[in-house]
Amino acid sequence: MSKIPALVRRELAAFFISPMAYIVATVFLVILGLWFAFGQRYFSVESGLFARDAAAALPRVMGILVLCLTPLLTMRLLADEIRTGTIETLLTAPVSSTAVVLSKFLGTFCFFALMLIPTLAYPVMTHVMSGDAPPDAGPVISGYFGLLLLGMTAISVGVFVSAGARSQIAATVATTLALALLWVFGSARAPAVRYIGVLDHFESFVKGVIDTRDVLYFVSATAFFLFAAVGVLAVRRWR
Amino acid sequence: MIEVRNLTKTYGDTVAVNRASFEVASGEVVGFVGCNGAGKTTTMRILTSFVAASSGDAYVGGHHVFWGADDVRRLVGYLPENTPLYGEMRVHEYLMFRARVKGVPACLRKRRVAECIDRCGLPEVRRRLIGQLSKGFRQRAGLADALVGDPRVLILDEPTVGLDPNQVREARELIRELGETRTVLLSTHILPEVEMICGRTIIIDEGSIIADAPTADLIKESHGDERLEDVFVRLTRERGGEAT
Repeated sequence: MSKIPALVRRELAAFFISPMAYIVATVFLVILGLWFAFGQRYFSVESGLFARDAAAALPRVMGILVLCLTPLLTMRLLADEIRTGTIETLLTAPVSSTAVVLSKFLGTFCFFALMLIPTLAYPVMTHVMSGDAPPDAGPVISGYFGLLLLGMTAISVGVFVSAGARSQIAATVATTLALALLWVFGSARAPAVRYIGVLDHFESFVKGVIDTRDVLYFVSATAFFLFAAVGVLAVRRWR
Repeated sequence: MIEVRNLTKTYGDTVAVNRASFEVASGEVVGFVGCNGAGKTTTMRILTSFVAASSGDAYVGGHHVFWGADDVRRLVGYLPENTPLYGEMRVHEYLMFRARVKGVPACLRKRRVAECIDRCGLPEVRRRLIGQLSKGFRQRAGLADALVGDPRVLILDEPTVGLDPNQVREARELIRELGETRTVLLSTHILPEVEMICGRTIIIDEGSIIADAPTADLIKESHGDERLEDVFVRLTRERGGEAT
């Protein structure tokens, strides 16, 4: 476990060298910027409540983007190491597969968190623009907290899929499908299925509620997928 | 130092290693030779606890390769086949990273990496990206990586493949030198190399060990003027003949 900082550092460095990370960050920020810029006209004509609405809707839009884009961040993680064989040097060094999986996860999560920082400009702007009646800060803070949790879960799904995938493309497709399923489940009728889905849990953060049940949902889902990823690596040893 | 007992590894219906047993004493330099697909790489992967055996046991430095995997990994420096390295890292940066991962104490790290770079002939490329190195330099970077943890056991899977004759000679010298203080198990296709640097030779064919003797004896026992290459061809062909 003491090797994790070194592994995380390498992982994070790899992101800053790979074009894909820049593409993902650019797409994320550009789409969000467009939404903010053009949404302004749409919102303000109708109700004059733009700032308030935009602040409330921002985490929701970002949540969808996060689910669409994380597969592109995670596809490389283990699939590429397996393809090029570097996994062999990594796993024959005195590090456990748990440490490897955790460092992949943490490295990606750090990049993800960094990617969110520029978006903080939007809540600040809405605050300034709305003058006398600034939007409530609570939902924005809880929304960002929810985003971190959502990203964490999405990344863990990606790490898991990447451990079992034969190629980066397969990893991307499978992760996208898995995350889409998690999203769709959230609008199912059956309560049990609905609970598995990510939507309700995320929605409460967007509304400004930090519920331990929802926190627990994201944390346990993340733990589950990371544990499964370690399992996939163990199975590889036996094959 | 290395002890292998009845080791078997199957991939589905294919038997990669078939009840192999051998030992390598501390300080020995042993050549592990065989045709392509004979089971060399699989055996080495089991010894470095990258792959689990189907049955049988193997120990490195008294630690079981499966149950004591962590201790084994600390003891062994491994150069995998085809030298997989992170192409986007620079040589020096990569070796520093590997030293950290292998638990080299912070105070020794810089010196150790510098030593490995010198020893493996990498000073001129230390700032270059690994992905842009020639095959020979890549191979040497891999060797430096295997050495950076100062392991007592070196397991090298085809360390000289892709090197030019001058580099082969240098690598051979380096391995011979390393063998003075360490246990080395190396696989190769180049038999004169084994004759030159390995005190003992193990020949593996279709997963089974068919010869295990001091290299000099293997040559002597045969018909006098034979070279190791002839012995190898004779032994592996004989078995092939039996099978058909």
